[in-house]
Amino acid sequence: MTDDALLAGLANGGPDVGLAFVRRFQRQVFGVALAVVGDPTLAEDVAQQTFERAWRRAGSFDASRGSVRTWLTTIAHNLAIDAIRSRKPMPLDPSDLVRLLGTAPDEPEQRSLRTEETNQLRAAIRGLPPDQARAIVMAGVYGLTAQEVAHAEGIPLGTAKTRIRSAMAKLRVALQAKAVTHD
Amino acid sequence: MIELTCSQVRDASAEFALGILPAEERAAVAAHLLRCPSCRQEVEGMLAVGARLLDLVPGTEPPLGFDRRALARVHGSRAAARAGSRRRPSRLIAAIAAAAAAAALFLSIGWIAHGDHDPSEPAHLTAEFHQNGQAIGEVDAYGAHPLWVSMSVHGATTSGWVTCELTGRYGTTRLGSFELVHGGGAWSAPDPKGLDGVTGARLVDGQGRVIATAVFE
Repeated sequence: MTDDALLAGLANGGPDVGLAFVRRFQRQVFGVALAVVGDPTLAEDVAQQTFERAWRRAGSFDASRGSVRTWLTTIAHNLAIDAIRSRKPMPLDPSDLVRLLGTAPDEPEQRSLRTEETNQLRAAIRGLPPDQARAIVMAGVYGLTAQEVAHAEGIPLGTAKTRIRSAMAKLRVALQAKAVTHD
Repeated sequence: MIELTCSQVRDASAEFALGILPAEERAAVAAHLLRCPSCRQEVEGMLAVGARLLDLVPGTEPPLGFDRRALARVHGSRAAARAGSRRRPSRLIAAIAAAAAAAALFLSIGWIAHGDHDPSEPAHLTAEFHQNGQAIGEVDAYGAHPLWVSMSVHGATTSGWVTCELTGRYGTTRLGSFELVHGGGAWSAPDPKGLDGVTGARLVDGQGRVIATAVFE
């Protein structure tokens, strides 16, 4: 069953379809939640909220704007950021950044188009100046504000904003160029 | 609210797209985007990049049983939505609610569907909460091993912690507690015993008083 059909089943179908939907995406959803909040219990709550919100908003999903997976992980990311927003910035483990920017696929079964796209993204990030790469991962994955990035890096706020903005602009250009190459 | 120029919005577009802009600036950017298609296009491009960044995060297997807990939460919300949209209770529910009211029980549970059930077969039963004859929530029971029970209450005149128990031929099974805040709340839990022998349900308040009960035929 396609991702889109499973999503429709979550909204309208029985427990079996809902369970299949959750099982298909739970690793990615929980992984994003855990990466941001850093606490398994809170991550589970965020991940559960993600599926609850997906059910509520299934009707608004637009396949032309992205995959179900991307839609779900974006929901999870926003909820996770909300969950930690009132907390102090969590200490970043440098090994996490290295792992995210690494070259090895994280799962054997991901030798697919998605892996190819992810590798393109990793390559694009590795092409950034290291300070911009760190800033974009801190902000875009871990949900740190520019102020928090500035604090973590020991740099002025304006510099942090510039690094985030520059990195995003470069990634956009790099990913668009890759997309054109593949078209 | 701050009025932003296109230049300022484009400077903030990356942070906006990543969801990390402080609330006041975020509101100002959003207001600008409503009236500026050009900046909207710029931000949409950034949003696409931001979503792609999440592909970097490796999947992580959640704790055992996560799938069923997540689905129970979805079912709890679904039950609440159905209860909220319902206009009139069924005649059976009304009769149960009337009997409960007459017995000075201010909250009652009426089961829409119940009967002899093969405990090895997945069940999916739905129940309505009633208070003074009004539908104020719903209970879902589905699955088999375990049976999952989800319930939601909206608009009750009671607040505070209540405990849900299933009663039956083999005694009482305490499923768990949930809090009614301003008369509402939602909760779900597994019942490892399933529906075998279950003849009723009840809600108990923090002082141990049975505040609602229902007996199944």
